[in-house]
Amino acid sequence: MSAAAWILLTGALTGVACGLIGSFLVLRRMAMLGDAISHAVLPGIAIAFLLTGARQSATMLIGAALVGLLTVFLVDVLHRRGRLQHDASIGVTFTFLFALGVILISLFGRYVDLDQDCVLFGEIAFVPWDTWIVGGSDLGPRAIWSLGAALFVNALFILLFYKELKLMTFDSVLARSMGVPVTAVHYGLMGCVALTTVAAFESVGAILVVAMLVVPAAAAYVLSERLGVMIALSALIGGLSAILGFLSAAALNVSIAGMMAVAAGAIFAAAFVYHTIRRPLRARRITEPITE
Amino acid sequence: MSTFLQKLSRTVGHHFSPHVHGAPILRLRDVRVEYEQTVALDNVSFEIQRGDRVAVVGPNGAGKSTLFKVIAGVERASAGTVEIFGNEPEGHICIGYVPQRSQIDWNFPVNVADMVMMGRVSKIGLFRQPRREDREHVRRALEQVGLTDLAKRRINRLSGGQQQRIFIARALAQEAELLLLDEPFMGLDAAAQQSIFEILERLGTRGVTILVSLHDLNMASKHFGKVMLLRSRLLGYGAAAGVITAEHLVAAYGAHLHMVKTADGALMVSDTHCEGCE
Repeated sequence: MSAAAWILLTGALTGVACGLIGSFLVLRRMAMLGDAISHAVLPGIAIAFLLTGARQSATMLIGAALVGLLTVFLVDVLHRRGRLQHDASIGVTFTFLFALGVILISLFGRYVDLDQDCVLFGEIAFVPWDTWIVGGSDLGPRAIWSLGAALFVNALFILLFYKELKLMTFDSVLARSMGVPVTAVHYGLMGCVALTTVAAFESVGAILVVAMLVVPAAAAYVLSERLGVMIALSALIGGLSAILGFLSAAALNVSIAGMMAVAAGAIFAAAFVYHTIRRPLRARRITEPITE
Repeated sequence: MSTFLQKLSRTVGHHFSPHVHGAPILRLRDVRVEYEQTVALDNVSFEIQRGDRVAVVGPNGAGKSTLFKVIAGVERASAGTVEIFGNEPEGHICIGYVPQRSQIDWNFPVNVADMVMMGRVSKIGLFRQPRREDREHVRRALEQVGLTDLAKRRINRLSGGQQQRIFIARALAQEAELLLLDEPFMGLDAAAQQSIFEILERLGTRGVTILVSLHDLNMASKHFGKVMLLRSRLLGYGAAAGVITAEHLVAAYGAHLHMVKTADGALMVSDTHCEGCE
C-alpha cells in the first residue's frame, strides 16, 4: 500500500472510531468531558512512552485509558464530594493533568522521540513509516493496529450494551431503579473514549480529537430520527470528514489534522442548514391533528 | 468493606432484589432524607397494600419527588428503612418510575415504540436483544393507552397528554406492579387529564398499585382511594375525608394557605405557590 493509502486508512479509522463513541458523548451531554479526557490522557501517553520508548504500543493505549478513567473519576469526586460545579470540576482536572503531560514531555522529550507539536496537533503524515515489526516481518503502521483495536472495542461495547446505554442516556433514574449497572456502563463508555483518544492522538492530535468525537455526532444528531441511524451516520460522517480532510489538505498543502476537523465542521454546517430548511417543510407535513 | 462489596456487586450486573412472600408491596419506617442543610423527608412511615391508589399531595418542596426517588431506589434514606415486598429498594423491575415530563429530553432520537421498549431492558437482560415476546408486550402496552397508531412517531412530535401516556405504556411494558407517577397531570388540559384517569382506573382494577403526586386537592379526593399529605413529615394518610381537614391543611401549607369558609360550610383553599417551580 502506498503511503497516501495508509494515511487515508488511518484517518478513516480515526473518524469512524470517534464517530461511533462520540454519538453517546453528545447525547449524554458529555462532549466537554470527552474534551477533558482527550487532554488529560497526555501524562499517560508521556509516561507510557518513556517506559516503552514506542508510540502506539499496547502499554500506551492501556496506560492512557487508565488516566482517562482517572479523569472521569476525579471530575466526579470534585463534583459530588467537593460540591464543585461540574464544568469547574472538568476545568480543574483536565488542565492539571494536561499541563502535567506537557511538562513531562518537555522535560524528557529531548531524550526520546516524542515532541510536543506531534502530540498536540498530530502527525498523520508520518504514520506509514512507524510500522509494527514482529519477528522481522512488517505488519503495517502501528497506528492502523491501535485504531483498529479502538474501533473494534467501541463497536463491541456499543453492540453489547446498546439497550442499557440507550435507556440510561434517556432516563437514568428509571435505569437505576430497574437495576441497570449504570455506573459500570458509564465508566466503560468513558474507557472507550479514553482508548479512542489515545489511539487517535497521533493522527489528529490531543487538541483536535475532540472535533472528531463531537462534530460528526452532532451532525448525525441533527439529521437522524432514531438512535441506531444516528450512530451509523455519525461513524460515516467521521470517516467521510477524515477522507475529505486528507484530500483537501493534500491539494492545498496544509495541516491534515486541521483540514479533517474543518471538513467535519463543514459537514456539520451543511447538515444544520439542511435541517433548518427542511424543518418548516416537515412541520407542514405533520400538522395533522395531534389526537388526544 | 462489606458495603464496598455490596456496591461492587451492584455495579457489575443488573441487580435484582427478590420479593418476600406476604410482605406489603411498600413499607417505609421512619424514613429521613437530607440534602446539605435541608431535610427533604423526616420520620415518614407508612404501608401500602397491593392495588391501592394513592394521591400524594403537599406544597412544593414537600418531598414528593424525593419520596418517589427513595422508593425507586435512586436516592438513599439517611435513616429508616424502605422495603419493597419486604426487600431493599434497588433493582426492582416491578417498580415503574415515571418522572415529570420536564425531566426528559424529548428530542432524544427515538420513536414511541422504541421508548416503550426501554421498559423491557431489565426483563430482556444483559447482552440480549428484544425477542418476539418483548415486542408483543410493547404492542399491548401501546394498545392499552391508545397509542398504537403513533408507534412509529418520533417522541418530540407528541402532545403532553400523549407523552404522559407513553410513560405509562413504558411502565406497562415493564410489567410494573407499583407505578410511581410524578406530577403526571401538570400542564395537561382537562381532556388529557381525563384520559390518564381512565387508564389509571383500569390499571387499578387489575391490581396495579399506583402512587401519584399532584397539586390539586380536589382531584386527589375525587379520583384516588387514599390521600397522603406530605410536608417533609407525613401529616395524614388514609381516606380523603380524614386527611384533607382544615387542621392538616394549615400544617401542610402554613403561611401560604388562604382559607375561606363559605356560608354553606364549604372550605376554600388555595396554595399560592406557583406550579412546577420545585
